[in-house]
Amino acid sequence: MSSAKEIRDRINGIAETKKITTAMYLIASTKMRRVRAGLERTRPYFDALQKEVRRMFRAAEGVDSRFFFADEDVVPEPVGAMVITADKGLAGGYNVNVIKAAEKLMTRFPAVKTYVVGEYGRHYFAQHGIATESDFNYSADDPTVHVAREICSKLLSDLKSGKIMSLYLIYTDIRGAGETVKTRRLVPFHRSALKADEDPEAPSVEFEYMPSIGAILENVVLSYLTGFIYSALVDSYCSELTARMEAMNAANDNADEMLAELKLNYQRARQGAITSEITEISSGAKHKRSSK
Amino acid sequence: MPDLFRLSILAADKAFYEGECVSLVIPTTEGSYGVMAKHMNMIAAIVPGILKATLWNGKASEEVRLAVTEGIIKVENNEVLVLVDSLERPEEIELSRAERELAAAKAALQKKSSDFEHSLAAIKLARAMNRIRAKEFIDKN
Repeated sequence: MSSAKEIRDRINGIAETKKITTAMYLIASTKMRRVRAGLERTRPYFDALQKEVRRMFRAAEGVDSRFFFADEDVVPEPVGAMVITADKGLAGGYNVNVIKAAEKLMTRFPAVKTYVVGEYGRHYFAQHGIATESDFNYSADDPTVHVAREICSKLLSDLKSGKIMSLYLIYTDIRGAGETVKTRRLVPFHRSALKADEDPEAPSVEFEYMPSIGAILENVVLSYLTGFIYSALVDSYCSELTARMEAMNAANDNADEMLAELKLNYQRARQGAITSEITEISSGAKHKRSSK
Repeated sequence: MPDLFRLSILAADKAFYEGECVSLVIPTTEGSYGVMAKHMNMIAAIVPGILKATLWNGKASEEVRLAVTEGIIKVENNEVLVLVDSLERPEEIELSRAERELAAAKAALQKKSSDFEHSLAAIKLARAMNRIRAKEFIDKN
């Protein structure tokens, strides 16, 4: 058995680590509340915009645009993929799950161009010799509409120049049961997905389009995609924080367990030391008495 | 009481207005476009510029001007929905800051840079010029 001092040091060490994990837990929960509030504020705008854009799609059966309509099952290449990871580790399986999904997409489209958000993903791909877009440098921390728009205009300019023809988004969705990694095609848009939520009750109103549906869509495509990217960033960030909170919670529980066991050992070691000391003293005294 | 219609103005980061309106003038790709009550159903693209609206608070009308950026306007059965990326009240605009941004955007445009940076700078330029125009317009009146 280790000495009482060694165990004491261990206990102190674990208590310090527990302080850190508790603090990380609290930080994650506060950050999450703030980001959620930001998303709530922007939701009415993006919801309304998405509704209008969907309506225009339905009205514009014949309009041809590289962003909007494509043959359902044909994905034009080269493909771009935006992968949202965390900036830091210590978040359970969060990063690993995203990277697994990204690698799955890479086996489907070997020539995929990867746009990575988050330091963790960038490191991972660099270490494994997988090429990523080097001038795409955004942090996953604290997503804002502003950053989402910048990311979006970067992706759009690559789409327009033909560097990529279609765009996938790999992110972690927090809605529903727990965090799930989603791979979603953003561009070209799914015609069937747009139609799926068509409300049959909605009256079909004739609109006058100024100057034309195509031009209007072209004008709002940035905002439309920004809405998706922003909510994906926020969802991923919230998932990351939730994963981190869970990981930190588990770490706290483990620390408590270890502390309980170590404290018991410490008492035992201390008790043992005292007992042996008493035995030594009493046997020494006995010896002295008998030798007199 | 004048003829009224319902107006909602939404920007990416805030809901600006929701209520009755007398008249509305928006900057579109085709130039300034006016909307009054019982306008026909239409959808148009909004470009950076100054939006003028005469709002009705139940008793009196109040005129507001806003610097807006890209978006769309939808008129449907006497309900008007304005969706813009961002909007600013002229009171919120700082002229000196807008002028600094204008200079920075112009400098960025001059530099030979990638398409992406060029388009970002062009957007910033349009935004800064729009701010200054909105501010000067209000100060004059």
